Amino acid sequence: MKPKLAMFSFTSCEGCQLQILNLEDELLSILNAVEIVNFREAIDEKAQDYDIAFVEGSITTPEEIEEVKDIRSKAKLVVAIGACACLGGVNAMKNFFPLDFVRNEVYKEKASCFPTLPVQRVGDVIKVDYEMHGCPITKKEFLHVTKSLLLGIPLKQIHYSICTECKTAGNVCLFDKGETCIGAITRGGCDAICPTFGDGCEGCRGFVDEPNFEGMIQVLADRGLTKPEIKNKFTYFNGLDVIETINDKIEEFVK
Amino acid sequence: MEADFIKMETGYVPVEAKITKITQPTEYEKVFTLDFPHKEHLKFLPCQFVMVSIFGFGEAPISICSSPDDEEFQLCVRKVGSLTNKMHSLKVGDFIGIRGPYGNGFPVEVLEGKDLLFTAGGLGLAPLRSLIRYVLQNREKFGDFTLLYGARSPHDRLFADEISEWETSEFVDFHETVDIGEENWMGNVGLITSLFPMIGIDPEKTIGVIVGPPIMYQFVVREMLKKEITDKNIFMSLERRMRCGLGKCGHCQMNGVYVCQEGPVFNYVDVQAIQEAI
Amino acid sequence: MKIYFLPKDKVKLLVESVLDEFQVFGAKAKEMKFEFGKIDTAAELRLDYNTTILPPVKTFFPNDEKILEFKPNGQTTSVHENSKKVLFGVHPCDIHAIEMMDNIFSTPPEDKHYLERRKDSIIIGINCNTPCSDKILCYDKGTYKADSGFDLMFWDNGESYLVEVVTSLGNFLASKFSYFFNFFTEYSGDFHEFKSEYHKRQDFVFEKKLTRKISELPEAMRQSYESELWHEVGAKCLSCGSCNIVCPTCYCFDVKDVVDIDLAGGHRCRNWDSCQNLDFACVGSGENFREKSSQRNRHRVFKKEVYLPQNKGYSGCVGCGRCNTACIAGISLIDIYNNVFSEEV
Repeated sequence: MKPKLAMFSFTSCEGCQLQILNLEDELLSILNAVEIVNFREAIDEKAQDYDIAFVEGSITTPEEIEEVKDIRSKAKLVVAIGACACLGGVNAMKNFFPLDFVRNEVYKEKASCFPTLPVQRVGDVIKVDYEMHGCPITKKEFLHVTKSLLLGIPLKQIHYSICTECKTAGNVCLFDKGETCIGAITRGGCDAICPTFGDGCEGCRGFVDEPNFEGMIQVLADRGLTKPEIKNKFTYFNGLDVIETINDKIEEFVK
Repeated sequence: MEADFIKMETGYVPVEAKITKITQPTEYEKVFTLDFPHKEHLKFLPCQFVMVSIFGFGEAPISICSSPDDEEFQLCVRKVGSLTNKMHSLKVGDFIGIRGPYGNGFPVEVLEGKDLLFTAGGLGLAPLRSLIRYVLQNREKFGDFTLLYGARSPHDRLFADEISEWETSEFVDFHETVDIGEENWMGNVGLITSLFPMIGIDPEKTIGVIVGPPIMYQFVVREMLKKEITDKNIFMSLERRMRCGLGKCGHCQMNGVYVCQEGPVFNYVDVQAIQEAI
Repeated sequence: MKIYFLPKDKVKLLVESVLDEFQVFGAKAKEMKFEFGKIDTAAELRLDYNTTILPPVKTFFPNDEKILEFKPNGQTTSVHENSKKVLFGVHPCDIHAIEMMDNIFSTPPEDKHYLERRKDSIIIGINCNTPCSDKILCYDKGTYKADSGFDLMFWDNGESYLVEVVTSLGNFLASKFSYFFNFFTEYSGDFHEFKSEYHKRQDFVFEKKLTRKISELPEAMRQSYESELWHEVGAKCLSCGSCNIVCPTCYCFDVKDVVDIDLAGGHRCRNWDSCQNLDFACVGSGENFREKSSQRNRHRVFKKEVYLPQNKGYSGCVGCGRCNTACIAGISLIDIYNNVFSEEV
């Protein structure tokens, strides 16, 4: 029997699911090997029985906590996909403000109808078997992960940086063009897609293990970035990771 | 004895070896007995390693745990990564890819006529078992033979059947210990270094051999030196994670030395000149 | 050895005819820089480039190189590529790098994948009239000129190039195209005199960056093993790996398997790896033998300036300056070497 695959979305733009749908050439091959039973962007069916759950989005409401726990109890494997699910992502900027302020700002007079919580990663709420990073995830990594899960190949996080991939691609470094980028301390796996198309890396795949924040801050400051600009670079996708420490670090290293 | 390397078209193509027997000494380790298409594939030296390969799961260096004089070719595999996890799911009759053997292997001729003091820690007993069995199979060539073994706990002990034989054997003076004891464990409890006070050796005639986890070497070397074994009479086999086994990929390099080419067996005199070794 | 005379306005014609018969690799513009890659039209090829982002030698050691193929029937075969290639316009530093990599990959057990790609390739060198940047060490290293490692060498002679033919492959190429197009005419002047004049002009514009002689470096470097310097470098380093990827003499790699979408077959490939990556020296038991950035930085430099000289008799750095340019944290071998020199007692 084919393994059953389910896709779930929490607080996110659902762009990661769209990436999977964009796998036009490979989708049929995937369907030979698996049965997709839950995929809001593609099918109406909503099955309760599945083997592998791909979970997109961050967890931001009491309701979502219950739903994601339910998914964990049903799925054999849970893969968090995308920056929101793995890092908190852009949504995590919410945590930099008082919760009531955020709620009133968004829902105005109806605020009391919408309970809200600080943003959490999926992995903060349930055990996650693998994290597929990126905003959005890459099609290549989705295929790699799916093939590996089907064959029972254990998955490993990538240890090298975006710079490694960017240099391998033979790109002109953005720093040489007077721009900045945090690819040096960001986990690779996207083939440096943004720098390849001329945009600096914003860190959507999370930081490498043991990132040298101090060194990176120094590099950005040397290029003339102001303290708020540096903070933005670090918190755009990775707010949850650095919320406690980033202000102090910037104060310490930017004179 | 000379290593007879498998002659192959290119460096990376493995030969298909059939699994003929699997035993599981501990929760995390299994011993695989392999059969090769040609007998010459079985020729190797103690402490050499092979690159084991399963398509999709990659390759990993695994040391050979059988003796060159054994009929059977065996690998002891701990479940730690993609490849080794997959290996643990294999059955008798399945095939795996093997290329090698690689590395210098143990210079057995230097042991001849000498007293031997072997020290194995944890999984280090696997590569050392190749040499232990070789010594026992050619016992007349060697003097006194002392063997020390330390495991993490009683249920982490490898090759328990053979250990029982060694314990009662008149051909080897065997001592073992575990780091952490258990209720039914009657033996020694303590680090491997705690076995040294129990043994008596003649430092003039003794060759020390150490194989174990990275942390162990410094401590055991110190004990051997305390027993007045000179550094040139101490040998060790070192673990590194090779990707190629051909002296190119760089992963096994410690300072200027490629372990897959010049090792994994080193003399302690040489090791002292390699800061990254132990 | 033969010397030919090639008017510059004939270069394009020559390239066109070479393109008819060979795959040609050379420098071409990429934004405000240059890349070394496959040339499709003669107009693309630039001989007036400063340096390329990735070095020419990677033509023989590509990233993501397929080394084994696993067929669905269970058969495993070795994959080799050996098309006839012409590398057109390689600078002396990069020629030195290719010679070094030839030596590394042909040292037993030899690497057939590299050697097959390299085997039928023709290297056309071009000398550098001027230094390509202020981050290079080629004048200190003597790698701003090359005596071997090429089949043909172009020497700038104003309106023309003098083309030095040194190997039978070079001779094959030169005579093949002189027969068809007749734009190589043998040069009648005194080539030795020309060369020494050329190098004199180079002496005028190239400058030494090191405070001491390069021959003193391995010993000075060895003395620096415990130096505070490595901690300073390690604190700056972002462990991004750029220095290794752009280096023409870095050859470390990782090996991985790629499974086809039908899950039946696939291939094993090797990828460029960087000794600056945190997990580069990790072993199965979890031990990391170079867990600190300072240790990894020291290893990179020591590999080039201590271990290779000790094991092979040559330095592993050709002074091309690519790593110094690529490092956004401003780590420079020039500074490291000079610091090492100044520290030594």
